[in-house]
Order: sequence, then structure tokens, then C-alpha cells
Amino acid sequence: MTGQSTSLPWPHVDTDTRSAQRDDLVQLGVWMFLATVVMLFAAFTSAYIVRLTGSDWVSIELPWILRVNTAVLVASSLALEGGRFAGRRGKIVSARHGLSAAAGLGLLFLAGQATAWRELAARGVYLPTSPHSSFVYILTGVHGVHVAAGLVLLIYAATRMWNVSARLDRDAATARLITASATFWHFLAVLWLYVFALVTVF
Amino acid sequence: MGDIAVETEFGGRAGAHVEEPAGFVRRYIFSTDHKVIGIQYILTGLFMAVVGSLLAVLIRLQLGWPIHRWPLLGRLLPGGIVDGVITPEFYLALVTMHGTIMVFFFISYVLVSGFGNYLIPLQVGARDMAYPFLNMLSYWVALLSALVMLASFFVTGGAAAAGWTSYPPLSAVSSAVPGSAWGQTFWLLAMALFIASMTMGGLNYVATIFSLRARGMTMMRMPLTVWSYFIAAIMALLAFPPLTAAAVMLLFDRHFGTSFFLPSGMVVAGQLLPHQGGSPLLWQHLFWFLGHPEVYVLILPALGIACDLLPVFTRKPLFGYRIQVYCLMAVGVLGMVVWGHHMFVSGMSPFSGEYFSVATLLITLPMAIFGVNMMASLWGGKLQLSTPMLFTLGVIAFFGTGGFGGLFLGNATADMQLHDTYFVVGHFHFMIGGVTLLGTFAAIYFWFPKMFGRSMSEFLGKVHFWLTFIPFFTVFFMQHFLGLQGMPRRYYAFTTYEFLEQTQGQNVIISVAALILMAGQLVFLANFGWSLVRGRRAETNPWGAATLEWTVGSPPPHGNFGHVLPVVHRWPYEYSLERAAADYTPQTVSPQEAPVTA
Repeated sequence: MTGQSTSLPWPHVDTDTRSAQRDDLVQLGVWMFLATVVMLFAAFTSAYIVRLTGSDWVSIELPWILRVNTAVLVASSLALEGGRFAGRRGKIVSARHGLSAAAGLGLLFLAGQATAWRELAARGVYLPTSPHSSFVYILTGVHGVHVAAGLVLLIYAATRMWNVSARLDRDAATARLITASATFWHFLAVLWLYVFALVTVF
Repeated sequence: MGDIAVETEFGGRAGAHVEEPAGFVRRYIFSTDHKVIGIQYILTGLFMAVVGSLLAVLIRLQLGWPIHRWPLLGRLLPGGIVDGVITPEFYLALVTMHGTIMVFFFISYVLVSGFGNYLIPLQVGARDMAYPFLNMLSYWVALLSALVMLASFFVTGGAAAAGWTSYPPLSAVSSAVPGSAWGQTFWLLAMALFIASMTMGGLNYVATIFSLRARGMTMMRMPLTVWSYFIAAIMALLAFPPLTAAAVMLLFDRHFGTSFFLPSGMVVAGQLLPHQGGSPLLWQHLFWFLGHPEVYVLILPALGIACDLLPVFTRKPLFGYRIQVYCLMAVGVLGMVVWGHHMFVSGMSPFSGEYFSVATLLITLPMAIFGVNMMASLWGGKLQLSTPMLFTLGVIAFFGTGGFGGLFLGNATADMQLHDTYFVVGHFHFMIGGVTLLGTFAAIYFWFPKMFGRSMSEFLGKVHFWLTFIPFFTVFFMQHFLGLQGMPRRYYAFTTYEFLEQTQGQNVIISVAALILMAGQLVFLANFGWSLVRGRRAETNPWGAATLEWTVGSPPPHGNFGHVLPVVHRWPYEYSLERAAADYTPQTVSPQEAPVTA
């Protein structure tokens, strides 16, 4: 993050500097956005702690499939990282497969979360059943919305990858997109581990 | 820019952005140019200000003449004014929407989003914001948010009526007050959109200031305006998302039967509610975690702009630039951790109260230093009392006056007595009402020539200043004393309280002053509209100012700086240098041409 712009005549500017600066800018934006998501979940957490002390708190039994979903999301992160690793090594086919697998596992995660909701509903556990159930629905829901957004990004990155013929480091825009989606996607996996721990432990 | 093969400063993808977009729609409606977006924000915010002001007029009519009938108004607003009498429910909606619109849709849009967008790239020497498309999206989400908020006047039950703070249970139970039917739902949705829009804007502010400064523009050479936007944007990014969480939970309480904020045993309209175990206090914490930083998000830019205008109209450097920067940082940190001082009477633990008191009074230190430095900047200067300078002096006056009230309210012991009285109303109108309002006007008069290439009328500007400053001061200074007499805020009428009968005369004076204040704003609107089409043509640097935006044309071209980005050699307050060509030295002047002092 140099913070310094070159003063070469515009628009004839040094493309490499510009591209590197754009990389930094996009990553900075992603990290700042993640900070706002952290604050969002911090607020939910504080509400969770406050409600936990209420006399009407009844813990509900969580659907077993949530553990499977956790494994699926972590596997998705790993697949994505594997794909990026291959991409940096110039193994474009493996990179494509890695990204596509990550997106597919992401879809599977969302389907799994929906199944968990259906299971709860089938057991007669609805939103207002207990404060715990309210939080389980809302936290999984809000996390799910973010996962859906991350998935859109990831699918877009994967389709771009299928169109890349050269090495990844020659296509700055696609590399940037993949890095940004990966940062967000890994964050969502970590966030899910946190949410899952929160609703499981308390 | 002609048909030069373009490689933008952002790399290939944003190539289309370099050439000025063709066609009215791409250039002025769906524009990604920060200057156009800034002006869009300003015009939207000014429209919302007119709406919010009209609501204030109705509030003051009711408070000044509570038993008078207004049959003509009744014909205009048959839903809220029955037989010429403002209904209590409508009155609650009026105070709620006046506060909401003024805080979130006027000051936020004009001062923070409008001038922030317009000024940041120009003052740091960038061609545009870091994420131009996100910037455009930010404006359109903001517009949608404003429209949803305005639409709430027309839904069943009318607009939200639980106060701009929307405390549950009033805001959570649909049957509690008509405005809590659909109006409150619209309010919550509009707020969520507002936060999304401010988040997009905040990302742009921080990234642009952090990464797109011109060569030589070190952080410590940035104008205080930019510094204040930087701190404000960081605060907004961290403080606003929690209200989204709160809004989600309140929506679920309202529509899906959850009990986040609703306690057990609530009886509304003779009916026992099914909710149990929720905590209304939780909302207060989450709201004020946004609400208190929000007041700094609004006031810091006004103070930063005032600091930047002082050197221009005293022809001498700002006093204590570095200290001002550190003060802004200190306020930024402390402002995040004092929200509890809005809740001293909520039954919080006395230990928490003690903490929030001490932390709040600590803010007095950086803010007092900031204010004293502004006054010291006047010392020994050649004062030029043009319109922007008058408003800047007004900022200092209001900041000092309103700040004193804060000392009483920040102290838990005194606040117990003053909480929810007109003392509070007077205090915050001086601060996030007055300082920001005068700061906004100072900014408009100062940068109008840059934005539109035409000057505003100085004569009408001065008339507007005095018609704003004197009535505004009258209204809110007097309200402090109403508060000391025990007059509570948000009450519909004071005719049934014996101890408040003596305040009626004061309320009439306040209402008359408020009407004069409103009339004074017509002078502004006329000046604004007239100058837009008929104003005297403005040159590049009409005020003789040293910051970067005054080195380019009025209005600046697309891409701001032509073919070569500026190189900065000095701080922005180089005035009355010895051995310099003029009594101001722009930041781009090299050390060979004039000595560098900072």
C-alpha cells in the first residue's frame, strides 16, 4: 500500500504499477468489508449473550446434518485453496477443477443448511419456539445470505477460470477476482465455525 | 478526452471510465464520476431537508399554539390533522420522522456523502474514488432508502412514531401506536438500506484516502476535511452494521413472533402479548452503538471543513494542525465507547454509568482542544467576513455553546434530572443540528463556485446567515432553559401540566423564531436556484485557497486533473508566506518557487 500515485502523463501510465495498485485496492476493500461483517456478527453475539441470561432460554437439539455441512464448507475452502495453488503453478486444468469443486461444495452447504431448517421445522421447532431456536434460524440465515453472495462471486470466478488459457499471473483481473473471492470464502468458513460453536456450546 | 488509446490508472478493466461518458444518462444519472455522485447526494439531501423542515414547522405550530385550530392544514393533511387539530399519533410520527430525516437523510447525505464524495478525490489528488461503480451503487441504494422512508407516510397507520431511536416495545408492537403498523417496518427497511449505502461509501472513502493520494500528499499533508472524512468513515464502517443486526431482530419480533426485545407479560390494548423474556434494553444498546458514533460521523466533517475554511478567510495558517489530527483520532476512538451515556436512566449498573460518564467527559478534552485551536486560528488573522466565513464562525459559536450542555448531560448525576427534557433537545440541535447545519452551509457557499462554475450571491448569503444564526440560536438556547424547568421532550401538549403553564410564553417565542428560521431558508433556496442558472461566472480559484481542488477548473473536468496528476510539495495551509508570489501558496508549488513550512 504505497499510497503514492505516479505522475506520468495520463493516460500513458505504467501498467504494472497500476495493476499492482488495483490488486491492493481490491484486497483492502475486501478486508474492510469483512470488518463490517465481523461487526454485524459481534452485534448478534452480544444479543445472544444478553438473551442467554433470560429465564426462558431453552436449548434446542441441533440437527446432526449441521456437522456434515461444517465439513462440506471446510472441504470447499480446501478445494478452493488447492485450485489457487495449482493456478499459481500454471496447472490450469487442476485450477479449474479446484474452483468448480469449491463452488459445488458451497452449493451443497447451502442445500444442507436448508435441510437443517426443514428438520427443525419437522420437529416442531420454529423461529419463536425458544430464544435459542430464534438465534439458530437467524444466525444460519444471515450467514447463509453471505454464503450465497460469496457463491455468486465464486461461480463467476470459476467461469472466468474456464476461459483463461494462459497462466493465471498473466491475467491480472481474473487473478484479482479469484483472490478476492477466496478471501471472502475462507472468511465465511471461519465465520461458520464461529457461529456453529456459538449455537452449539451455549 | 478524445480518442486516445486509454490505459487507466486503475489498470485495464476500468478503461471505459477514463473517457467522459457520452449521453445525458451516463453522464448525469447513472454516473460513476465522484463529482456527479456528490452533487446527486447534495440535491437529494436538500430535498429531504425541505421535507424535514416542514415537519418541524408542524411540530412548532403544535407546541407554540396547542389549542389553536389549523383548518387549512387539515385540508392538506386530512390523515394527521383532524378538524384542524394535529392528532397525538400524528405528532409522534412528526417528531420521529423529523429526527430520522434530518439526521440520516439530510446531514448524512449532504455533508457526509455529498461533500465527502465531491471533495475527497479532488483534495487528495485522485481522478476518482477507489471503487467508482460501488460509489454509484451507494447513491442509488441511498436514494431507494430515502424513497422507502418517504413512502412510509402513505402506508396504513402512517409513518413510524416510536421516535428516531425506535425503542421497543413501542416500535415492536404493531398495535401500540398507528405508526408501529407498517410505518415502522418501512423505517427499519429504509435504515437497513441506509446502512448498506453508507458502508459502500465508507469503503470508498477509506480506500481512496489510503491508497490514491497524489505523489507528495502524505497523510500529514492532507486537509483536515479529508482527515475528518477518514475518521468518520472508519467509525461508520464499524458502528453501523450492528444496527442492521438489531433491525433484523426487531423485524422478526414484529412479524415472526420472536422475543428478542419484548419482555414477558406485556399487555397492549387490553391484550396479553405472547412474547416472553426479551430485553428492550438490548435494542437501546445496539441502537446507540450506531447512534452515538453517528453523531461524530456527522459533526467531524463539519469541524474539518470549518478548519479548512478558517485559513482561507484569515490568510494565515491553521493553528495546531497536528494536534487537530490527533484530536480527531482521539474522538474517533472515544466516540465508539460512550454510547451508554444515552441510557443513564435505563437502570443500568451504576458502575457502567460511572464508566460511561468518565469516558464521555474524556471526550471533552480533545474536543475542547479542537475548539480552542479553531479560535486560535482567528488570532492575528486578516478576517474576511464573506458568507462561508460567517457560517464557519457560526460553527465555532454553536460548537462552544452546545458543547457546554454536553458537560451536564455526560455526567450521570446531572443527566438523571435532564434526561428526555428539552435540555437534551437544545443540546443536540446545537451539535448535530447546528454545527452540522452551519458547516453544511459554509461548505455549500464555499464550494458552489467549484461545483457549478458560478458564484452565489454574497448579499443574499449574508441575509441567509443572519436569518439562520440568530433564530437558530434563540430556539435551541431557550430550549435548554425549558429543560431546566422540567419540560419533557416528545410530549404532545403541555396544557394539562400546571408546572409547565409558565413555559407557554417561551414556547410561543421559540415557535416564532423557528418560523423565521424556516423563512430564512427560502432566501437560501432562492439564492441556490438563481445562482445555478444566473450566478456570476466563477474563476478557478475565487477565494485564493491553497488546496488541490482550486488548481483545476470550475467545474473540474472529468478525471479532475487533466493529463498529469498533481505533485504535492507542502501542507494545505500555506498563507501569507514571505518571499511567495501571492498571499497563498497552492500545495503544488515547488520548494524552489516558495519556501515550504510544513
